[in-house]
Amino acid sequence: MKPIENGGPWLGPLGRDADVVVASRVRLARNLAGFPFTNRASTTQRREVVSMVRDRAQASAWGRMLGWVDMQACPPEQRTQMVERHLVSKQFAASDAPRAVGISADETLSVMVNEEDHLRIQAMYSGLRIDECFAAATAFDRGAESALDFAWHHRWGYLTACPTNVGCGIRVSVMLHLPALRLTSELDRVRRAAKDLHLALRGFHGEGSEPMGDFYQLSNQITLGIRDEEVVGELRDRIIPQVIRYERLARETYRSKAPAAARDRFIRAAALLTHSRLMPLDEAMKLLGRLRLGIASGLTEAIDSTLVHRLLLQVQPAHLGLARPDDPMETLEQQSAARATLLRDALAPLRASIG
Amino acid sequence: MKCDQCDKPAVVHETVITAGVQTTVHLCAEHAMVQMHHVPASAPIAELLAAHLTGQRTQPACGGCGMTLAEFRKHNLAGCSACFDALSPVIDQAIQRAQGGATAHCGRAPARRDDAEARQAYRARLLNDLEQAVAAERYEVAAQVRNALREVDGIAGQQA
Repeated sequence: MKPIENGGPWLGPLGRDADVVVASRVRLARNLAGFPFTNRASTTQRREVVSMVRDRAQASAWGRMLGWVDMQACPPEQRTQMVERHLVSKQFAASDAPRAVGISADETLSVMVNEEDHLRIQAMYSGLRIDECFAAATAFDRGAESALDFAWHHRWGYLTACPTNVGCGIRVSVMLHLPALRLTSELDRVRRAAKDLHLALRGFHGEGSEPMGDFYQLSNQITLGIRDEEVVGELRDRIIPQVIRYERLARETYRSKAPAAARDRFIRAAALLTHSRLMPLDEAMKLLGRLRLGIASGLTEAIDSTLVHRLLLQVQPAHLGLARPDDPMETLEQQSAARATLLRDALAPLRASIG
Repeated sequence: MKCDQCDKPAVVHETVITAGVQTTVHLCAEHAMVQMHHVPASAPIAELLAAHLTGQRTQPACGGCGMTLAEFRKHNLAGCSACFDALSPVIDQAIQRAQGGATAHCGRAPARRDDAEARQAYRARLLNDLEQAVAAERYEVAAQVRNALREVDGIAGQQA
């Protein structure tokens, strides 16, 4: 796995609406006709699926950009790094069955083979760039279907193991930073509205994860009876702009009602991040979230959000290990100490600016 | 009602007509056994149903991967492409529930797909669905089916 400076699909340019949007992702679920789905496939069949997809991708223009990682041969800490970078799912990293992931050099495209479905094609970009994600995922999908026979049904469309993905198999997710909506207790309303619109609001790492540092993923739930481009258009033109507007409004309200408190929150977060000797993961995420809000509100120009995004990744346990290969970090305290050192070093310009 | 011969609740109630005279006996389980009456099982219908359902559940419902209905209900995951026909209508309901009531795919199909026969069979099924929905005055469903029909004809048109 490469050092984080060169990778991480959501560490690119911030783009528009970066005050609220962190990253966008489009995922397509596909299965190969003629094989049982992953949950019913034998070890031999799973191996066949891996080699069929990998070999055909490597032999064609549409798939040559992927470098392949055999998950069974991959050491645990590297698997966790891939989860932390959102390149593979937690379940995929934890399984012991034959499976592989193809990752493009810039890590914007990743293809999991033998996750819940035979193929999970995922494209991810920083900022609000759903269209680019959709184009990249679709380009791979169209290339792949010229060489692979995808499971298809005249009524249900693309077949997937779980009924929630049947149809066009698309999941569009946008990672959002919503601190003000939570502070003003409006988040539950957003959650209810999302549910009514068949959208899911989830935590930092998607399905089954806790929100950390006020980062959330908003994604579509319906994949049947709607065209993939309609799912994309709906989120891009209607839903996400509205959530962005609500969050900005909540930030404005909070700032105008309690300007001293808003500033104090930022200064406290900055002080803790730049002086602490021990920093647990959840606290680091929370404080980095506050820093990000402060930057978006113009409270500092010493650092920008790109640095915060990079740190959000670097403070994760497996990435901490990657940055300090000679430090065994056997206990949580040692990990906390290493995290605190990393943050103090990286945020030195901020320390100087807050005095 | 109590047993004619003790204080236990009566489970057998029998009307006997002997030489034009009607008498009714009420007996508890034990006294009924003594007098050779047939004692009904505690819940014969429920047991019969359970046996029937268990048998049905453990039988593989999908010839493609051997998935049973019980397994599908438990994990909510199909095992292979054939499950989508073999587990119908259970799987149809699961999909529609997960998909906010949507009844059919619309939009893109793999470019390599060209099985006119399957499309015709599906078209026939949709026409049937449409007829039923209209008859039942379920116009919302009917509209969805009509859209699906247009999709099928659209794909056929593009490929022709």
